[in-house]
Amino acid sequence: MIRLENVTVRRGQNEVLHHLSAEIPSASITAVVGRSGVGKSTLLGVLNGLIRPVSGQVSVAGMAAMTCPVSLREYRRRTATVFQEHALIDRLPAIDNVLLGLADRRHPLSPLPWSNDMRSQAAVALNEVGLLHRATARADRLSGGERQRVGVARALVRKPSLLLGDEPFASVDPALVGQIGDMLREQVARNGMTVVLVMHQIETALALSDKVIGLVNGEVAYDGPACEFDTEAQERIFSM
Amino acid sequence: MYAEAVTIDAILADGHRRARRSGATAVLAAAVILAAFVYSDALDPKRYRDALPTILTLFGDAVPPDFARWRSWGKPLLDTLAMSVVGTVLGGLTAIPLGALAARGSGPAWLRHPALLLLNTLRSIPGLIWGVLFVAAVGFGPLPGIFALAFHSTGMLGKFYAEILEHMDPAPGNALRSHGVSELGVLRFSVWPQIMPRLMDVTLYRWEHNVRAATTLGMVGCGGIGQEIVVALDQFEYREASALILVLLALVTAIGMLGAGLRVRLLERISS
Repeated sequence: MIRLENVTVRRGQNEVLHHLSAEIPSASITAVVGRSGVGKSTLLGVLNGLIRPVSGQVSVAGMAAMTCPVSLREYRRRTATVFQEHALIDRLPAIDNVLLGLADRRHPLSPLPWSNDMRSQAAVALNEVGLLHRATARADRLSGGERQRVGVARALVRKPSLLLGDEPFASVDPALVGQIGDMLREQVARNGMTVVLVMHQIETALALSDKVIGLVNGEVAYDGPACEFDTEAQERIFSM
Repeated sequence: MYAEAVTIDAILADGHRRARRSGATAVLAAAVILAAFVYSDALDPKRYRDALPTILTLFGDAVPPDFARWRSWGKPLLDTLAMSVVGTVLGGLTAIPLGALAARGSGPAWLRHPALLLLNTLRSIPGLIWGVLFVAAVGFGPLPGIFALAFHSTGMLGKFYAEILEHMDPAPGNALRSHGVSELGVLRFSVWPQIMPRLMDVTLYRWEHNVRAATTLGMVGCGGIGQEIVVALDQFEYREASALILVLLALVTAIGMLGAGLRVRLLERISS
């Protein structure tokens, strides 16, 4: 369980998240939805520790306070993030980009190449997203959807206990969304992985997730099961 | 809402204003260039009256090239090559930390301007002046040439390295940070793979430049093939000087082809 209590984030004079409180249950998929600019990606940044709130706190069950550098590092080791803009290194092959997901398990100054074990893990992750046949293709030669799947494979290779996704299906075609969604559900069921996905496609979010957190102007406007997210909630969150 | 603020008339007026400004800039630039030509006597026909006969006389004295002393040119050639290699490597190694400090967002903000100023100073002083200074400091031979090339190369390469770092995509590094990778790990696994081909590209280009620069440094006492050319000219051995210039041309062409080939391969790795 991840608990956000009174989290406030400011960017300059703007308050992007305003005293936000929510709970994210373990071993489930939570979708964070809302219009552009309401603070969804900022919330994800808070969850992966890249953005520090000016007030409030994030606590994870079984871990020390996230303000402690040691626990923050340990938390990050158990976390993987799929970024909206893929965050791949263009000139590296797909498999090498997936291997970057294991960079924290290798000494930065080691002159040795990636071990066979790590390469095998990366190949398995690529296979899971259906891209093993493109393993040696450079990232900048992949389509938008393929790049996004490489990003997902880079996250999955870490076997994370928390997977964060910032619009992970933005450039993936609908058939693959279902395929990757099934794969995430399997990971949740098999390994107890917790998944938080920031999404703007509400239909996909409702189909994939167990719980929905809807944001309006940096505040929680809906926090409940996906199956109870009705038209009224949708209007409250997405209306102009 | 915005349509009320920006009218078509305002857009057209802005277009005319930009066109007038571009025209005025072009006229001013042309005037400055013409003034420079006039000031430097480059357009004075009197200055060219005796030039052609003199050049033809010199050319007549310089052919055919005299390769009789070719056995003694091996060491000066090696000196020139060694100077260019060591000068480029030292310059490149020093430029890496200075370039990192000078790049926006990569080092402490308060150190950026001092680093930029230092790089600017190093490249503003011509290589020949650095050569004269280091000949006075450490004596004749390739050593002052190495320092001269290294100092000037640091200034140039540091500026290029800083620009390469500034144009690097920070997203893969942030992805690694979010996975708990240390800053050293980000440098090794995200920064280095992204910048390495371009770093090598500009460094190889600089090496090609330094082979030519090492030759001119020979003229101020830094040894090498340049010094041989100066000695031959001082002794009016124009045929030997022309032979040395041909050898130098062959060396520079070979290095240029090698460097260009390597750079093309690197650029293919970056963009293909």
